[in-house]
Amino acid sequence: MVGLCILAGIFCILQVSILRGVAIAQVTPDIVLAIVVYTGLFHEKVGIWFGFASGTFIDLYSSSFGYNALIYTIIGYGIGVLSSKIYKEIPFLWIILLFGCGLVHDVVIFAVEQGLSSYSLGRYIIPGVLYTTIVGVGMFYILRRSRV
Amino acid sequence: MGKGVKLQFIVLVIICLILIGIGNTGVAPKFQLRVASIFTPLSEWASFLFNEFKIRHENKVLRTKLAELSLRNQMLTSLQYENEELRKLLEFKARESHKLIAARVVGREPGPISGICIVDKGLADGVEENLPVVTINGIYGKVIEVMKEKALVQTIFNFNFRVAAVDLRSGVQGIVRWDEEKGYVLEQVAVNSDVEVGDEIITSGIGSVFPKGMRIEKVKEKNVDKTRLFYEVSLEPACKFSEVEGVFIVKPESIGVGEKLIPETPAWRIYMEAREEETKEEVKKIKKTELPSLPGREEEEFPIEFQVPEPIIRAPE
Repeated sequence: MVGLCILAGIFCILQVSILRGVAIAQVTPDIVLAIVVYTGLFHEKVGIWFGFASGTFIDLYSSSFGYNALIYTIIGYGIGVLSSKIYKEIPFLWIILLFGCGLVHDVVIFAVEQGLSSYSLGRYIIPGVLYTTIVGVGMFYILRRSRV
Repeated sequence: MGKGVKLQFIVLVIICLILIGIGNTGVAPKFQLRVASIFTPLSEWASFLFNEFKIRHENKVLRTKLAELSLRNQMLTSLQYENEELRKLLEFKARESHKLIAARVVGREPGPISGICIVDKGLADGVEENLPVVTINGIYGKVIEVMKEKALVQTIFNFNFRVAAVDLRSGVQGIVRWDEEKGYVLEQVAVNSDVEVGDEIITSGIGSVFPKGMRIEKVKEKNVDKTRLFYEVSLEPACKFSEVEGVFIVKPESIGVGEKLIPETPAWRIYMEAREEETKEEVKKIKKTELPSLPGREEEEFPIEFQVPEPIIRAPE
């Protein structure tokens, strides 16, 4: 659990600093979301706290103050509730969860910050969520093998 | 999940809603900057490691650019000298110059469009609220909150960001804002205004944050908007602002009449000495020229006296 906390902290720092360096067409993966989904899925009781803490951290660098904390908390809790009712080790399930949560997060944040449009959906949100899903699935594999 | 977790969830959601409430007040930027500055050493360190290679390459490019600009600067120095002389002759009022404070972006909003970012310069470096922030390619944003060593910058991608602008060629005025679909857009330009594709758009100086003359972008295309009263002018982006790492905070500083806008350089000194010699010779020539005396007036000494005034040199910072 300590390892996961440190990892989440590192991911938060990376998300607000250098992750822009791996942007493809201005789109970056949301590795904080991926770690919140992972924690909710495999450590259900603490997922909610990981969601709240990392969301609050992201909010410090965000123009939509408070919204990231709310969405990540709901995601952490929601995935935690779901995890007790499903078999977790299916990669397809990881893809669905990452994609769904990423979509909800980005749609809400865009709606609050810029106003949602079909253009922003096609240009930023969907590519961003796909990028997050690909990176997140890779991350899930590594974390499962490391037994974190 | 037990009742305890449900209770925790409800409490956390309430806290989040309070945070959103705080976000809707003016307190949020101050709070954000104060807390974020605790973590900025970590993000600075991460950025430093990541950017080392990038900076090396950038350094080479900048050296070339610096050489080009130095040459251009030498030409401009001579023009500036002449301009100042003329200003003095016309008794112009003191004009404003600007000091650039170089800063590094140490934290930015995640996501494709960064509406705010944190830079590593603050009150200790002379940064104040509402100072413009620029890159070598154009304006980038403005400072909205300052601490001792950090500042929060509202970037041009922020939905609330606006800057008054003017067409350099025709003088047509408008307001520039960021549109996620069209990029920079120049608004409030009446139909039939003289705006052409390729025109350079600069800040107009209206609004007191951005001084006049800062480059924004060039006109890419113009269309009549839905109301058919205004042009919707799209501007061509000169660089990817999402990749910006280094910025300059522009601090105005007043410069008096006769003071040099730039520190004295060897090239400038040589130019000035040559100019002084030239002027003296010119005066001698004119004095030697025989002018017809006016009827009814006594012959008087030639009244024109050329003097190259001693400039007040500002000590380089």
